[in-house]
Amino acid sequence: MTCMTENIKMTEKSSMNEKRLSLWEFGKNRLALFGILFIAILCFLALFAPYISPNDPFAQKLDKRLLGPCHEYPLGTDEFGRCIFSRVIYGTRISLGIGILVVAATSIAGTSLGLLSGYKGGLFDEILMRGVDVMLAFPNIILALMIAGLLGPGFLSVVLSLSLTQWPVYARLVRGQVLSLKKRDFVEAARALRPSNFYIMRKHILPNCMEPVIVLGTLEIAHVIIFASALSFLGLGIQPPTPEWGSMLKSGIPYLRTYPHLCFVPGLMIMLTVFALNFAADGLRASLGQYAKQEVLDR
Amino acid sequence: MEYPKASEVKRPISENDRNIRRISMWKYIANRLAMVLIVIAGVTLVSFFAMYLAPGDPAELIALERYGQDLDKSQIESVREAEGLDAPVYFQYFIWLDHLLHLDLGRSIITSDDVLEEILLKLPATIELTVAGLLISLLIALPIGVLSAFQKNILLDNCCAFFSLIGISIPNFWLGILLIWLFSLTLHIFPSYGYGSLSHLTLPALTLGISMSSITARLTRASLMEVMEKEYILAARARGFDEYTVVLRHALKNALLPVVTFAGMQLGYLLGGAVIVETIFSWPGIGKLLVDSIFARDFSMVQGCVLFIAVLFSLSSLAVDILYAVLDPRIRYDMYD
Repeated sequence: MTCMTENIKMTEKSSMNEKRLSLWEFGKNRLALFGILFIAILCFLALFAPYISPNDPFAQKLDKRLLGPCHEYPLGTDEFGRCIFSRVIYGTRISLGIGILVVAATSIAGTSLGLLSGYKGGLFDEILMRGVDVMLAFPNIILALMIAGLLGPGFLSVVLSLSLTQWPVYARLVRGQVLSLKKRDFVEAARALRPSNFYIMRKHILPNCMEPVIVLGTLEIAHVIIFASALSFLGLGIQPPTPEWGSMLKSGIPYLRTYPHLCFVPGLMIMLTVFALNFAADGLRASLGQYAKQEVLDR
Repeated sequence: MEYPKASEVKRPISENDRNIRRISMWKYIANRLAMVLIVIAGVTLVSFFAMYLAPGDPAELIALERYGQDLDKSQIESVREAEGLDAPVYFQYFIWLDHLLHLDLGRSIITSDDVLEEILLKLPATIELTVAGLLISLLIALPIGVLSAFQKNILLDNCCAFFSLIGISIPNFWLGILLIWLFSLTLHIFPSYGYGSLSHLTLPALTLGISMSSITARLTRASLMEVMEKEYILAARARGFDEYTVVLRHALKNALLPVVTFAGMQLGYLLGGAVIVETIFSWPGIGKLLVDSIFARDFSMVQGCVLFIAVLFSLSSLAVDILYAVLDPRIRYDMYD
């Protein structure tokens, strides 16, 4: 009995080595490295925003409206004379915060549901998968739009509406993984020891479907950031004066002709962040196992 | 001596395809249809009960919209009775469903217009926009996909890959603003909002098309590269066709099948993207109607729009699936796995 568990541990160990090797591959992928670096910088900005930003992001100076970049205001000022640079830095907190919160909530919920559904099968599986089909029948952000609209604007309603609509992606992915994993020999072998179902799911199946979930999660942070800023852009998410990239973009539109930097700065920030996350996900996908490559691409 | 016909020969069942059964086309269509009906039933459930996420008493909310701030109890009660809100929730759902089956989506809380009529009025503009967006995305994606699949030049291939990553990363509202700034405010070529002529259509359709084209380009490239490995390409080469004939006549035709299906499926995502694009460009479609109704807190209109879009999406993906099954019988094999 101990021999068998040792065997399993050994295979796990060798796969650890492979992972370390593939992390080296990851390092070679320059774009992925750029992505990770950029995200690290963003996290740094978000954490230390009060120390980095040169000005108060809320302070309105009406005599200094719509300035171009200068020494005091590195990226100029907006229509109320607020420092755009500081506002963008504080906006990092909100966008990354929403992205990480939503992805944490949805990946945990979706993964557990998918795991249970794939492992148990039967009626629960059938009902859950039809539920997933139903949720995915609402294209793009339509459902999130409706929920956010009904709940009223605000940070919490953005997080809630995106969490309620984004979990099915994980459930479907993990369920597919579990279905193929549970037929594999090592699960059969583990079952010979008659452990509880929960133990098999936690120890043998879950670790083996984490790779695609990690890749999907990275991509999903990007999606969530786009969706959250789209909600704010439409006026259903974070409201001004809170500095959020989407709502900054929106309030810059009337000045697009004469002061395009009001739109360009937040727009570029959203794009670069999503860009970096996509690169990072691509790099992860390339360096992680074969599973991750297939399943996430199919999506 | 008579040889058995090919169709009579039993396929040996190998270890790998023990779960794969071949089913007839009608059975496949019936299966898909049943699935779509279940999904649509679920969609009605979600769109009905999502309304209860709105904080507060629905009757009071409706009364607030109708009579303004100073309400008395009797007004709320009269609204509750008129809208059937005094019945139990599940009962309300079935009544709503009954109306739905008679194609009655109710009336707008604010303007008392018929919801379905209003939606159908806006539908042509949305269809116009999505179809134009789809065409533009194919026009951009196919050449890029084909070029990058055959490009020995690493630089060009990387450019294509880079373009497709940009296309995936750029949010469509930001792209829309960039296009307005460039083509409308700086170059003065196209108008930034409005509806009616081809020049009004250009910028919104470009916005939708560009953001969709990157995924399609990726798919075209992958599909084409896969097809080029096939034996019939080798056979075509062996017959002495030049490279252009091999690619255009033999490879592209087969490679485009998944691309076309995917494009059909994208129609639904285009509908979703259209919500934002229509709002930016003041395009009088369903998406703008939805966003406007959300701001007006016109619950029945919001419900109607969301339901309509989801059903349209489900039906369009059903149509695509059936079309695919007709075009490529292999798809029916892996129904159950």
